[in-house]
Amino acid sequence: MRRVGIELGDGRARMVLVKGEGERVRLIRAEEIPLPPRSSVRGEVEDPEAVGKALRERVSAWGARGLRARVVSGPRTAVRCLNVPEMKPKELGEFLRWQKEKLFPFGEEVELACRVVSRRGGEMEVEVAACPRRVVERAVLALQAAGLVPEGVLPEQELWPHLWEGRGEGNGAVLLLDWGGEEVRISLCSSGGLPLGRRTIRSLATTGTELRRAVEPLLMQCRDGVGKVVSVGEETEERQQAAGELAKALGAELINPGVDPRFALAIALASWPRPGLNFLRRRGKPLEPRIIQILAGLFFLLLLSDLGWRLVLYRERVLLGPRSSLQAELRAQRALEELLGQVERKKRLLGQIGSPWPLPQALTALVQGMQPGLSLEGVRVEGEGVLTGRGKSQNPLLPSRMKKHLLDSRAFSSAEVQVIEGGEGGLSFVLRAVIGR
Amino acid sequence: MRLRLLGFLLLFASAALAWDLAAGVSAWRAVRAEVSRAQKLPSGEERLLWGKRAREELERLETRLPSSFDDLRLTAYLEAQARASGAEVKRLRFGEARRAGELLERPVEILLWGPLRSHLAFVSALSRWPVAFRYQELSWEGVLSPETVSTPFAGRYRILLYAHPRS
Repeated sequence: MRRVGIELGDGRARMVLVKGEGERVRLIRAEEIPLPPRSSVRGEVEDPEAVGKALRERVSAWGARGLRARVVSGPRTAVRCLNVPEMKPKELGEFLRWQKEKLFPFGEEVELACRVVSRRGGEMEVEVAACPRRVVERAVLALQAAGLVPEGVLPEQELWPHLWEGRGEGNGAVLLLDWGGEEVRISLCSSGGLPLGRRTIRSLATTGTELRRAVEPLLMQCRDGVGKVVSVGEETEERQQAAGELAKALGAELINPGVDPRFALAIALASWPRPGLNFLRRRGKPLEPRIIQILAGLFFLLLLSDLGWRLVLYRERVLLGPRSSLQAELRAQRALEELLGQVERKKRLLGQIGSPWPLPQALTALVQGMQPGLSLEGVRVEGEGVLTGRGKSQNPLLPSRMKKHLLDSRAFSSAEVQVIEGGEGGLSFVLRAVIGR
Repeated sequence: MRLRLLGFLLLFASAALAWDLAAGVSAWRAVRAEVSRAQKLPSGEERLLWGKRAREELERLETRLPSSFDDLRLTAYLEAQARASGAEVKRLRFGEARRAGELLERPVEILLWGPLRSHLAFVSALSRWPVAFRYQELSWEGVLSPETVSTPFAGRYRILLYAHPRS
């Protein structure tokens, strides 16, 4: 992920473009950009349009339009450390809103940023930063005018630890000498960047003795002594010598960051993974430009696919012959299927009744089986196809022949003859036969 | 803010397009299925022939399974068949119709008077009857022998008639 960091000074801005965050940061571009006269005074934007216009050219040249950007809030930023009872973030916000006039008597509306440093025994240590709202708003307007997405307006103090991070040992306080054209800004802060005091000396030539004298009141704030003296800004040999004398007098280590400290600040600004104090935090995190690009790509892909489908459908529906004839055919087919369904249904109902058993053939076979001397009365056929009758025969062989005839006719599946009585006049028998094969 | 708005707009538009695309795919599949089905349909002439056969079959089945029992027509038919067989209908009695599943079932009792040949002809005529029926019972009252073939005797026939009231 690429990000832009901007440090504003008098008439100049240091802008860097970095890739990555934290320790994996890579500097891509860095440039000092001259700003129009009076558009930026003492690190604060006075004319957002002019500053934005001046930055926009470089932003376009770097291909950094739409990237997220952070800017330093300027020197009129105060940071205080408070000990308050432990409370929820919402309650803390409410508390600070009520206390801000008392904590930061700037005489104008301020933006607040806070961070919980530690929680201990029902209390918490909170670092609160304040900056005039006008400064923040103008910085945001300048970034927007430059074609960037404002992501943060950070207090400078938040970035200080970057200047001495990893340099030398010791836990003492850090004295920061920021050399300007006609002044030197002296800041005393803890090794973690928490400000302890600040003052400015206006002088063209400053000696070590003068510095020592100026630092004396600040040292009252510092119990552990000064561990490091960091000298940044427009240094000359005299100024370096004065800083060296001061460090020697305080028994501290002199650190010169090497690179232009203002660029170091801008790089720290752009590469800080999660700034604790950010005056823009409340405004929410803007959407990643890359997400926008992905969404736009998805949108156009879907748009093309949709248009493709529309063309295919048009071809199917309009160009592939008249659809009405197809519909008519389908209707005719449906009507035929319905008719066939009705036929099947009727057949199924008839199947429930069952076909009439072969009664005519059975009766014909019975009549043909009647031999002279044989008579049958009370012939009865019931629904199950069982034929019964009582018979008389003058010849004892005739009933057996009749039975054989019935079975041979294949109109009966079984036949039984039961003789009841016999005598000289003939015999009586009962016939029972089942119709069907 | 503008980026966020643009992002939401793009997201919404993408979702709408995705929906539209899915609907388009579904419509395309429906069209393809329709065309594919139409290609498998029989030709118009075949369909006409099948339709004619099906209608004839349905007509025949509907004659066998009428929607109601027409007593006059049934009586006339049975008496005509009896006369043609050389017998006489002495008595014809229709029973009450009752439900048998989807069908209506109605008993009919016929008392026929005639010689043996006429009884056989009558039974054969009943078997060729287009109306759906089932034999329930028959009984012949008389002596059946080669000597008495031409002697008239009474035969009682019980059959069950069927109708389909929904047709």
